[in-house]
Amino acid sequence: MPIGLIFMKWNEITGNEILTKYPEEVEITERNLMQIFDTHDFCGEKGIISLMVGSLNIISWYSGPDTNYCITLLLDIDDDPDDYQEGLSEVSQIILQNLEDDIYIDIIPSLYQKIVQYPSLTFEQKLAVTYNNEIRRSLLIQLREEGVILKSDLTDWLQERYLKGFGDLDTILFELVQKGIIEIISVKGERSLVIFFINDIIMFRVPPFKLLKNSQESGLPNNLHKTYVIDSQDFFNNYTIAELDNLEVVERLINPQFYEILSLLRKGAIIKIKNERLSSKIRDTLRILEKSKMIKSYTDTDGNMYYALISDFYIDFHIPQYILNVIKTAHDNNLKSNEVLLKYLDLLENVSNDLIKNLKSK
Amino acid sequence: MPKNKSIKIADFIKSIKAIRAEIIEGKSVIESTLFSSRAEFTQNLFNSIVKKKDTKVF
Repeated sequence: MPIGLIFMKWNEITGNEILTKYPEEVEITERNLMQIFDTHDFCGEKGIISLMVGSLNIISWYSGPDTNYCITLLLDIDDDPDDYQEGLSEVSQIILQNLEDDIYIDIIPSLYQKIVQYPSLTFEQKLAVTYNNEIRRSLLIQLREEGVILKSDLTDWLQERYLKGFGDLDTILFELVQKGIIEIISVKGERSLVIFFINDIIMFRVPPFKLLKNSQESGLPNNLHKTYVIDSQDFFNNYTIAELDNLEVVERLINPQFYEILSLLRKGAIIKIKNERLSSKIRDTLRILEKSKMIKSYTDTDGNMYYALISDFYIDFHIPQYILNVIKTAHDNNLKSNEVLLKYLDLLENVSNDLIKNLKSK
Repeated sequence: MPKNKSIKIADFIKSIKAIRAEIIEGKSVIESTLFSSRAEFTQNLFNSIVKKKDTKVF
């Protein structure tokens, strides 16, 4: 369990300057701060390092010598810093995007909670976190259209689009590489590194198959189960995959309160005995889930209420097979060099072969 | 290659090889409309997941 978060900046005249920390009472000596900066400086690059400073277990992100910001997470001695790397990377970008008017000071407590919770997030929640970030989502959307982009062009595009800043592109790209979404390679004849899109995040609602099988699975009385199945069918008869709907569900997935309720609903209906009072938090969560047509409520003849999942959610990585259209068009219209397109085809073939191997080994 | 069905990975690799051959040989033979758009790809995936499940309901 982390102990605290420190956001600091190296000042050439005054040295280390702590801009904010959370919780307020967290302590670190000037000497320890120096050791952290020295280690970053020794590495010479922006990015994340983990280190032991005295008895302190630390993972720290550095913005590089141009801006000299450092965001340091102090961990318990038993914590594995690797568990917090993605969370720290995500939060560092949010802090950098909120430097203006010191907005970061107000959001540090909630960002700290994000980091603390990150290791316990499920695979689908981690994908949802990636997709919920506006910058990364914009990058994905751009990559879906182009498949392959020069890093310098991407930088220009982001600068035009996000005039107030978009964080540190290298950190964002590093995270996407680690997740297997992109590869960054130098290609002969190109003026900049080339970013290749090799895994898309695909999502949509799906029926809660297991719950729909029978009333034992759904936890509903027999007569209500039949209505429940019809309601779920009705929903999917009218369902169209839509980005706005996906984003709404993604937001639910990354909210711990919603996710806890969703996890319960995936096991069966939540029952409210007649006259039982649910906490306002649970009531509000159920109401919002019902409004977004993820659940529906039913009442039996004794006045007991049942909240049942009528639509679940699917989110996973997929090789963007549709990108062959883009490659073909780029070739036919000489939009990209043959070297880049051939490299892209090689990469797509490699990830496809890896996928086949994985599927065979399962 | 069927446009309206999700391209299986093995078929996808065949298509990669076909486009690679086109680029190397400097030809343009394959119709790009033979490949799914992202929307079609996603819809096909949705259909395959929904149909694949062992349930009488959907």
